[in-house]
Amino acid sequence: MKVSLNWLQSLIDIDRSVQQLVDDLSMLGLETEKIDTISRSLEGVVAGRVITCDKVPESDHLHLCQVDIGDEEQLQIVCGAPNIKAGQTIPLARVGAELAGGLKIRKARVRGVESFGMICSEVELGLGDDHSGIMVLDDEIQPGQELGELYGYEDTVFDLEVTQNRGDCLSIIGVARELAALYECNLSIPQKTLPEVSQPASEAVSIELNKDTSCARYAARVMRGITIKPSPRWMQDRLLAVGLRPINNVVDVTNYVMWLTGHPLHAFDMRNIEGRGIKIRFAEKGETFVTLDEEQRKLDPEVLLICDEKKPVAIGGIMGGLASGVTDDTTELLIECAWFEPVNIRMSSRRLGLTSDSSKRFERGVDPDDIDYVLNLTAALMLETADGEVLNGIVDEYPEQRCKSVIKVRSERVNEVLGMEIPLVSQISLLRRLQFEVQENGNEYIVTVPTFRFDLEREIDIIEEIIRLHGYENIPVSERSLVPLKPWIEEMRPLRADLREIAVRAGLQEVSTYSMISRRQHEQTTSGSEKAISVQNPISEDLAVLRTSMLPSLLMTAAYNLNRSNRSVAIFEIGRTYHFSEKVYNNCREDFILSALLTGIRQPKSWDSQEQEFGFYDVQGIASLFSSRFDTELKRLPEVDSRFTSNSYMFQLAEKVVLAYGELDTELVEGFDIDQSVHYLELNLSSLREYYRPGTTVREVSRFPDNRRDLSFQIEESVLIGELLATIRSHGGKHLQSVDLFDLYRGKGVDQGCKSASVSLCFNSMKGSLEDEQIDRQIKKIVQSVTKEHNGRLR
Amino acid sequence: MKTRIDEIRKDFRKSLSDAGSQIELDEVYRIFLARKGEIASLYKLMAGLSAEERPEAGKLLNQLKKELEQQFNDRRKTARQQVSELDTTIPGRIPRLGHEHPLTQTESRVEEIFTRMGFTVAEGPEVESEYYDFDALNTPFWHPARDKSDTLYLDNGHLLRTETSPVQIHVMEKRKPPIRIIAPGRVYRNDKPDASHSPMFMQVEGLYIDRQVTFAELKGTLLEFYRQLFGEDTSIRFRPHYFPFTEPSAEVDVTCFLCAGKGCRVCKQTGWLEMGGSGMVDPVVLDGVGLDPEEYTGFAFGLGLERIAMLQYGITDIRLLYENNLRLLTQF
Repeated sequence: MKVSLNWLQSLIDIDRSVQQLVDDLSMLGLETEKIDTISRSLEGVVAGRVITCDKVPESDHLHLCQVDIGDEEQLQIVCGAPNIKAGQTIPLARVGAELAGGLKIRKARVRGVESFGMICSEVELGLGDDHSGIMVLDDEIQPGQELGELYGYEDTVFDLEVTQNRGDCLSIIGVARELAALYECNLSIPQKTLPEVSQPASEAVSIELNKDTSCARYAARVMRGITIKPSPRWMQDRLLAVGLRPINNVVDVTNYVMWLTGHPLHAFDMRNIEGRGIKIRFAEKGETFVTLDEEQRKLDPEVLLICDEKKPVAIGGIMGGLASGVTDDTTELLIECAWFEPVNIRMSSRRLGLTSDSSKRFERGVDPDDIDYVLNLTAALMLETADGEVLNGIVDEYPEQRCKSVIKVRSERVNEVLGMEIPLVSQISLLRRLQFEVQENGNEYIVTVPTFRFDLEREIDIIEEIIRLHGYENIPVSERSLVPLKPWIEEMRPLRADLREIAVRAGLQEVSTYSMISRRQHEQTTSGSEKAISVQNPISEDLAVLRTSMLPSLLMTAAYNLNRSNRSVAIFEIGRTYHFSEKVYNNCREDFILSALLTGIRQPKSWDSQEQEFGFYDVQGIASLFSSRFDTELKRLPEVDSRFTSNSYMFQLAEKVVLAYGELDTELVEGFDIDQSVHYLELNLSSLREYYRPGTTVREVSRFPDNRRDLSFQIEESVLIGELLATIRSHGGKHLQSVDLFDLYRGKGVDQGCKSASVSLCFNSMKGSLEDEQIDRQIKKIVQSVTKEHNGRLR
Repeated sequence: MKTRIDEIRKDFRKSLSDAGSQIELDEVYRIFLARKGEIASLYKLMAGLSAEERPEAGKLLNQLKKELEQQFNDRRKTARQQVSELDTTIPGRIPRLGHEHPLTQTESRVEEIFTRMGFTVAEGPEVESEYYDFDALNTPFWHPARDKSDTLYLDNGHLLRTETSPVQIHVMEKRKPPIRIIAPGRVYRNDKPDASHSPMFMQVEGLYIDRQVTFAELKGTLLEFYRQLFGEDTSIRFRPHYFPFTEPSAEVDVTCFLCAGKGCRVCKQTGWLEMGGSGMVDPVVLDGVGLDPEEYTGFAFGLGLERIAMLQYGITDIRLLYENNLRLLTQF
C-alpha cells in the first residue's frame, strides 16, 4: 500500500522526520518496504507561445520555431514533434534546465540551425505518460510563467506492508487514523457539501438484493450531464505518487476515493445499463463474461455478478465489464458502492486468477457503514471535476445492518498476558485513542469496536490493540521462565549426533540435499520396487517425488562435484526417506538413513607417496565403524540387489534390509554421468535404533607388555581371508587380543594357485607377563587348525 | 670367555654402524643389551666358571656392558640429531578431515543455547496432514498460505510441512504443561530457488506453555538467546505483526552485529536484522489441544537457520547451502 506523505498531511499534522515516521509506523505494525521521493521542480521550464513555426529545409519532420517567453524575449527552437503549431502555448525547457529523466538541456545545432532549448512532452516533464507529441498548455497561461509554480510537485511515498488482518489500513484515512492515535492529534477527514437536483435517483435505478448472495449492502448514486476530461493536476499528482495511472476525471475520482477511504467504487455508463433494475446474483455454471481488461472469463457458480435487467455488467467486487465502462462520451453515471463478503471475493479472485485494487480491499474487508460518506464524497468530487448534476438521494439496499462487535475485557487479564502493569484508566484511554467506545464496569470494561475494524472479536484482540498502541518496547524483559524443567530426549537425536560425529572423524564430509528428487532419478535407483510419494504441484521436474532412498541424492552430489574437478569425494548425510504407509495418520513412514559415498581420490599423489583411489575396503572399514555402535547380529543376504556389483554386502534385521554397502553398479552410476567406480553405504538408523549401544562399558587395558608374533600361511586361492582370520581367532585362546592381516602375497616362493597371508598376532593377559612357552603352545594350535581346516601351510 | 667378549664387541660395532633406522637400532638393543640379549647370556655363563676365573671375567664383562651401553646411547643420540637435516620447507602431511555441514553447525549452536535455557528438543514428521500444518494452528481455510502456489501437496493426501509449528501441536497433544520445547527441522514451500529462496529450508520453532507465561518472558527468552548467539551487546526489537496462531504477534529484529546497529549493506541501512515471528499462543490453538486458555498461556516463536548461517558466515546466496560444493563445505 503506497501512502503519500502530502496526502497524509492533508488529514493530520505531522512534524516528524521521515525516518521517525518509518519507525513509528513499524511499531504500529505497518512496515515500510520502500521509500520513494518525488521531486519535480521543473526549474528552468517556462511557458512559451509559438510565434512562427516553419519547416526546416531538407527535413521531413523538423520545425524551426520562434517562441515568445515573455518580457519581449524570443528564443529560436528546433522541434521535431508532429503536433507543433504556431499560436500554441507550450512548455519550454531553457538551456540549463534538467528534466525528469535527468536530461540536461544544452544549446544545440540541428541541421545547421541553432536551437536554444526544448519544447517538452508530458513524459519529458514527468507529468504523465503521453509521449505522442509536445504538451499543449492552456492559452490562459502567460508566456514566461515558471511551470514549476503550476506543475511542480514534491512528495515522499511510503510503500507499506499491510498484514492480512488490517484491511482498514489499505487507505490513507486508515493509516492517518493510526498515526493520529499514536500522536494524539486531530484527524480531519475531508467533508464536502453535495448539492442535489430534485429528481430522486430511485426513479433512475432500483436494486434487488437476495439475502443469500454474498453482498450485504449495495448502494448507488446517479449523475447526469457530466463531461469526461482529464482530472485536475493535484488529483493526478496524488494518484501518480501512489502508483495509479490517471485516466479521466470519472475513473480518477473513483480511484482517488478508494485510495483515500479504502472503499472500492465502480462507475457504470448508464447508457449501457438496460432497464433500471440492478440485480446481484451468482454466476451460472459455464457462464462467461468479458472484463475491462478485455479477457473472456469463465465463471464458477460462486462468482458474484452485478447485472442489469438483461445481462451482467460487472464481477462483483473484482472488476467491471468491458461493455459497461466509462468512455469519452459518457454523460450519465451510476456510481456503485457495496459490501461484499470477504471470503467470497478471496475465493472468486483466486479461482479467476484475477486480482485488482478492488478485490484486494474487499477480500480483507471494508467498512459496511461508511458507504453514505464514500458515495457523497465521490459525487461531490465528480461535480467538481466533471460538472453535471447529482440526482437526489442514495439508492441503498442494506437488509440487515451488521452488528458492531462488543467485547468484554478484564483489565487484570491484559496485564497477565503481557506481564506488566497497565492501569485500567490507561487501558481505556489507549482504546479511546483508537476511536473505540469504552464503558467502564468495575475492573472490567466493555469495548464497542468501530465498524472500520472488522478484525476484532475477542478479548485477546483488544489486548493486542492496547499493547500495539502502548508500544511493544514498553513490555519489560522477564527471565522468570528460565528455570529448568524436566526434559525428555527425542530418541533418534543422540544416535544421529553420535554417528554423525563418527562419520566426520572418519574424514567424511557432511552434505545436505533436497528431500525431493526427479521421477527419473527415483526410477534409476529403485528399479521400480517402490512407488514414491509424488508432489502434486512440484516446483520443477527435478523436485517431483519424495526420495525413498538416499542414493540418488548422494549420487547427484558426487556428480556435481566431479564435474567441478573436485576429484576426491567422501561424503555422508543422515537424512530422511519417505515411504507410503497406511499405518500412520500422515500416510508416510519417515526413516532416518545414514548414507555415505566414496569415489575418486583417497590420497592425492604426493612427493613421498603414490595416488590412491577409494575402494571396497574403505567402505567396508567405515561400515564396521558404524555397525560397531549397534549390538545385534545382522543376517547377511546371499545376494545383493541390482544397485550393487557383486563386491557388496547386504544385511537384514527382522526381514528388512538395514545395512548395504559396496561398489555401485556401473550402469547405475553412468546414469548419473559418472564414469568411475563409486562405493556407497546405507544404514537404516530407524530400524536399528533399539539396538543402539554407544561405547559405555570399557574393556580393561592390561598393565603388562604385549607379546607379538607374526605368522605367514600359504593357503589355496579359494580360501577366503575372512575364514582364515576366523579360524585363527577361534583357536587363539583367551589371551589373543587381535589378529591383523599385514601382507597378502602371490608369486615367487608360493605355489601356483596359492597365496601367502601374513598375520600379526598380539597376545596379552591381565594377570601377568605371558611366558614364551605359553604362546608357543597356542601358536602350535593355531597352525594345526589352519592346516586342518584350510589345508594351509606355515611358511 | 675373553674370546666370546671380543666377538660380541666386534659384532655389536658392526650391527651398530649398519643400523640406519630407529627400528634397526631397537633390534640391535634387543640382540645385545636387552634382558635376554647376548650380554645377559654371558652373565649366565659366569656360573660355569671357576672361582679364580670369575673376578677377571666379571670385570671384563662389566666393562663390556658399560662400553656397549655408552656406544649405543651415543649412536642413538647422533641418530636423533640427524633429524635436523630434513628440508623442513616441504609442507606437512595434512590428514583428511571431515566437516559438519554449516547448517548442522548452526543448528547445534542454536540447540545448545536453548538447551542451556531449559528447552527440550522435539521432532515431528515432515509429511504432515492439513490439520496439523494449518487447521490446528488457526489458519483460516481461505488463507493464502494454503494455496498450491505456497504449499507443496502430496499424492498421499497430505502435504510437506510449511513450518515446524505442527510439532507444537503434537507435543501439546501428548504432554501436559509445563511444556518448553524447540523444534528444529526441514520445512518446504513452493518457492523457485533463487538467491534468497529455497524450496526447502530449516526452521526452529519454540514453544513455552505454563500458567502465567507472559509476553515479558517471551522478550526475556529471545533477548537472552540472541545475546548468546550474536554477543552481549545485541539489542532486540518487537514489531507488531499478524500470524494466525499467535496474538499479540510480533516480528523480531536484532541489532545488526555486522555494523553494531549503525546501518550497513546487510541490514539495508536500518541497523536491524529481521529474524522471525513470535507471539503469545492464540487461545484458539490452546483450546484445540484441550488446554484451557484461561488457565494456561504461552508463547511461540520461529527462526530460520539459513538466515543465521548466512549472516554469520557471510554467505549471500541460500542456494550455496544446498549445492554441496565440497570446496565450500570443507571450509567449515
